[in-house]
Amino acid sequence: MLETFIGKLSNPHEVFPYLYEPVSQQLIILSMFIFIIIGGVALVGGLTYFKKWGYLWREWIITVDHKRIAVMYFVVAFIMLFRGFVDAAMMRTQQALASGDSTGYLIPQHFDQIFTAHGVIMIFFVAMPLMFALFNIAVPLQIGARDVAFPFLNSLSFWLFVVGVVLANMSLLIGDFAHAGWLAYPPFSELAYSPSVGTDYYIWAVQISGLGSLLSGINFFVTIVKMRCPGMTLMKMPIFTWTVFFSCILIMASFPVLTVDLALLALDRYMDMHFFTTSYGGDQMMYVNLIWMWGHPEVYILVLPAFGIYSEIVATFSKKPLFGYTTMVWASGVITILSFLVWLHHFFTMGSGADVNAFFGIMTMIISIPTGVKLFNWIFTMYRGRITFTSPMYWMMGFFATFTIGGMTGVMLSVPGIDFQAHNSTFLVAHFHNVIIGGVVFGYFAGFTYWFPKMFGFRLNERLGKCAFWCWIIGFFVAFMPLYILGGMGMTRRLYHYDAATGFQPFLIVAAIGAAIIAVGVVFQVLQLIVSIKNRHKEGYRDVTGDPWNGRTLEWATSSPPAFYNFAHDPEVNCIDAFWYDKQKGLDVDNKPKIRTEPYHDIHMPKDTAMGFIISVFVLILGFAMVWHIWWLAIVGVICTIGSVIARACNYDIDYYVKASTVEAIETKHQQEIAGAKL
Amino acid sequence: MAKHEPEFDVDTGATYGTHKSYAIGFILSVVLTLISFYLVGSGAFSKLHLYIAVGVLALAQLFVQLVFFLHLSTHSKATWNLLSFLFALIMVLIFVLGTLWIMYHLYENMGMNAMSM
Repeated sequence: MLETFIGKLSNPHEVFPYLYEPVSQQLIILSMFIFIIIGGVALVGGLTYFKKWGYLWREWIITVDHKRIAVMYFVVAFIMLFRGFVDAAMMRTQQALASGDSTGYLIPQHFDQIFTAHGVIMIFFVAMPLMFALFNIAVPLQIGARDVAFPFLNSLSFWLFVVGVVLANMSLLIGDFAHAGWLAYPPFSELAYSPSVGTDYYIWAVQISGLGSLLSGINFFVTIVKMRCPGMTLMKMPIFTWTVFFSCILIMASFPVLTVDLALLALDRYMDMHFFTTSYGGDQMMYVNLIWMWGHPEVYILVLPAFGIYSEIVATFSKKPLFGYTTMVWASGVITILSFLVWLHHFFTMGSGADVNAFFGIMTMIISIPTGVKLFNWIFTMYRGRITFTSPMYWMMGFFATFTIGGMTGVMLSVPGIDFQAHNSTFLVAHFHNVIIGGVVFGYFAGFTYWFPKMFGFRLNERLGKCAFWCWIIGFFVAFMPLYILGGMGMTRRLYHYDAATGFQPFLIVAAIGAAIIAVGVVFQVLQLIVSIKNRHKEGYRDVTGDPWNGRTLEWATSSPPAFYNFAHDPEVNCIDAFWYDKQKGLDVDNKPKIRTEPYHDIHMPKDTAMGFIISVFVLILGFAMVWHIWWLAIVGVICTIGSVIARACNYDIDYYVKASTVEAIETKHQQEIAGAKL
Repeated sequence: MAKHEPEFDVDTGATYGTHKSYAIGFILSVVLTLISFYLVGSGAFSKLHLYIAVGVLALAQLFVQLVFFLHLSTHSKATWNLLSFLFALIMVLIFVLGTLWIMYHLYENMGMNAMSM
């Protein structure tokens, strides 16, 4: 009876598994609870004490402004980065300790959840949102648009992503998380071997945030195709926008495969079907095949925008046009197509024959060619440039060294014979951290530092940024080079405990020290934010011109932070790096005779709406009910979700016009600020 | 939406959906799905015939969705429609043919008979 009403919540073993665990584990969980409670109380108390609830609702939760959505993506992604990093530190500590007689400080079922959560969080809830944050802050401004093509959809995407985050983190408090690794391979993720709610949390968190990613991919694709300012033909687009364009194509083509694959796994678990079981004609390799059909393009979804960021940064800080713009565009296009032809290299060892393995091995080697082309383009851009060594440039040069090593170990792994040896070893772990940290994470940090003044109107502290960089890159090499060696020694990934005679321990202790050095880098990054926010009105931080780096593309042509309508007049371009050439001709922001004499016009803008938030709340209810098998609540969730979508679709009162006089007042104030700063 | 607007977008050639066209598309999709389920459930066809029948129904559904939901129509003259359609076609070919190749290879190599699975 109770079970029909509250589903699996009626079973204390499911809801509070840690109550039945050793005291040492309960202490770890207790300290986590205390941390969450202190954080939660501080947040709620602070918002109430400073009376910020209304502000939070009006200015942030219901906003459809792409710049604010970008900030919210950053906030959630950095919180999740913290959690993902704590998971990593716990794993490193466990492996450094668990040699011989010692079994470390974790029990196996916690270690399982931690490495699963680390992977899921770092890819879905850190890398993806950081990427969408950068899309949001830069793309509409770079192409001279007022907002994205579908502003409401943008808000919905963000809130669906937050639902995924909430579900994944709810598993800390009630129930457990998946044990089956970040891609939840069957048969282990099937009901027979993972009966707890952990895998269901995984499925629904990834499905729902994946839906948000798909919607964002469509949104930015349409934005780039349809909303470029007059004169900006495709081959005059900023290179970052080009890489976002290709990234969106990858999202649209590959995320549906992930959705279908996870849906089939869910049918196995909920409806007793046998798509991926080892009995009744199921085949777990089909799951692996499908998940990597998404998973490999996903790597390029993440790294292409990072390449775009590096391209913007290297041109800006070398004071030169990007070397080989056209080859850069084509290289990205070639990577886009090739990334769909390499997925089998993730499971060479499953047992398909030599023809298949040879084909995918060779395709994998080929894909490194366009990437190599890009690297040379960046180096040639720097060649004979007037380079200013800002912290974004530091991240970029760190990327050169790190990514090249990671790329080369990747080509090593693309040889099926070598892969049979290195498969599932820490060599592989070292390789993909090498390319993801060196390529994606460094790129997003560089982009964050680069566009931070655009978001907030002040710069980040350079000295602390460089300290953070040095800790990250040194820590990275100390943490991951030992893993290459350990892989060669035969250490498998996700190892809970090993024999002392293996000789793994010294290397794992070094790796743990590396993680600690990275932690110092994270501390520097937090300090950098605090110091910069504290000094935001001071000389050297504050930027009123909107163009702190002497930039080349349109986002630097407007104020920082830009007015909600982005540009008072639609910009017009007739070449690549139009803003740079305008500045060279003396037509820049400070001195734009053409624009000053033009009268302002009414501006058509989307209205803020709470529907994105409301729909997501219903989706959260649906996800929670499905995880815990509360069927009546799931039905309520579905009906409310569909109902609210229909309600939104029937609402035609979604836009308004900003009066020309309002625009004039905002613009005049900005002009006065610039004039004031000049005096 | 006002009545005097054209039936299709002048830039892209895509038709605008009406309530009627969406409803028809939805019903057709549901019917085609139900037929597939019925064929599998009834067991009236042999295995090979069943695969072909379900494949044909899936393709039919693909076109229903393209026409009724994605508004691909004979008005389409812009390159974007054609390009995206071709791209999708290539993707589907890579996914489907790639998977068939990989899985058949696996079964052959592992001494399993794919058709008896």
